[in-house]
Amino acid sequence: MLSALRKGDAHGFEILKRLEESGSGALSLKEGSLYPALYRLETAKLIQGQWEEDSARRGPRRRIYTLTQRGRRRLSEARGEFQQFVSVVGGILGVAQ
Amino acid sequence: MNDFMTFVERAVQPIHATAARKREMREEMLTHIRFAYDEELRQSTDARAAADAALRRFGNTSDLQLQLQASVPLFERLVFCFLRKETLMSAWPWMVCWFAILIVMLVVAPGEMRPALAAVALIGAVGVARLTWDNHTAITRWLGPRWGWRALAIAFGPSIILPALAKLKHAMQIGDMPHDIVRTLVVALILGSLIVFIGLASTAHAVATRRRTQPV
Repeated sequence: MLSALRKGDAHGFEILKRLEESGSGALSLKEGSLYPALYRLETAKLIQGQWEEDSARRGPRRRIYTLTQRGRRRLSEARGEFQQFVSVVGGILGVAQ
Repeated sequence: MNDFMTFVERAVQPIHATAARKREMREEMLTHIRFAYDEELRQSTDARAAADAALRRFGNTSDLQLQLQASVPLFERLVFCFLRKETLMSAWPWMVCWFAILIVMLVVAPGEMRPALAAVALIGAVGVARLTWDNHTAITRWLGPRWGWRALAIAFGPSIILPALAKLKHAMQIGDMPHDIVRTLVVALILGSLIVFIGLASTAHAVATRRRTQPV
């Protein structure tokens, strides 16, 4: 989710679409479970949500999420950890990096 | 649209959180479901099928409720768990008060009265606890609804009668029985007996009604 927000601010539905695109259709999740995860990230101050105030746009109000500085740092750490994990496991399994 | 609101309400309403947080959760998830519905509607002309598909995509309300609850900060969760209208309206505060009063009575009362007070405490606690339970227990089937109030009446009566009797006995032993004290004690005895009688009579009536209306 942090990675999806690195591409730019987005509302929940948009984040979901980005996750689905990134997963090339292989990632399937119940859409409702996105929101509790977003709320936890917001409580941890990794993202910040704000209701949009675009009066020109028709339709229901959307809550736009932004990646915070702390979120960027966490994302960078998580990427590093994952790359390390992949290289270790890849080495054990003999999978080319 | 009402289906969407009902769905979201089912997931959000039971959560222990501030009203503002719940309002925002509702609004945000409702917006998401509307987007999903619009997306489904572009693929199908059947509005009903599109609405069902949008809700299916969103997931199961009970799982969602658990996940949403877990996303609420711990302190807020605890505070709102105890401050819920339902909790305050239920009998738990009464039960706590009941125990507090009885503990004080057990400490203050003379030793010979303690077993009787303990029995009163037990019956009363069961009665109060009953008020917090559902209405379909075996006891309810036999004693009728609201049997907790009757048990309370039966328990509360002796808490007036027993001290009055003890005082009367003491007054008789020392041979000093002023009229105003005797009058007060008699009133207490009558009042306590009346409360016990109402509890017993009401229970007997409920059992008799039950036997008349339901086959054993």
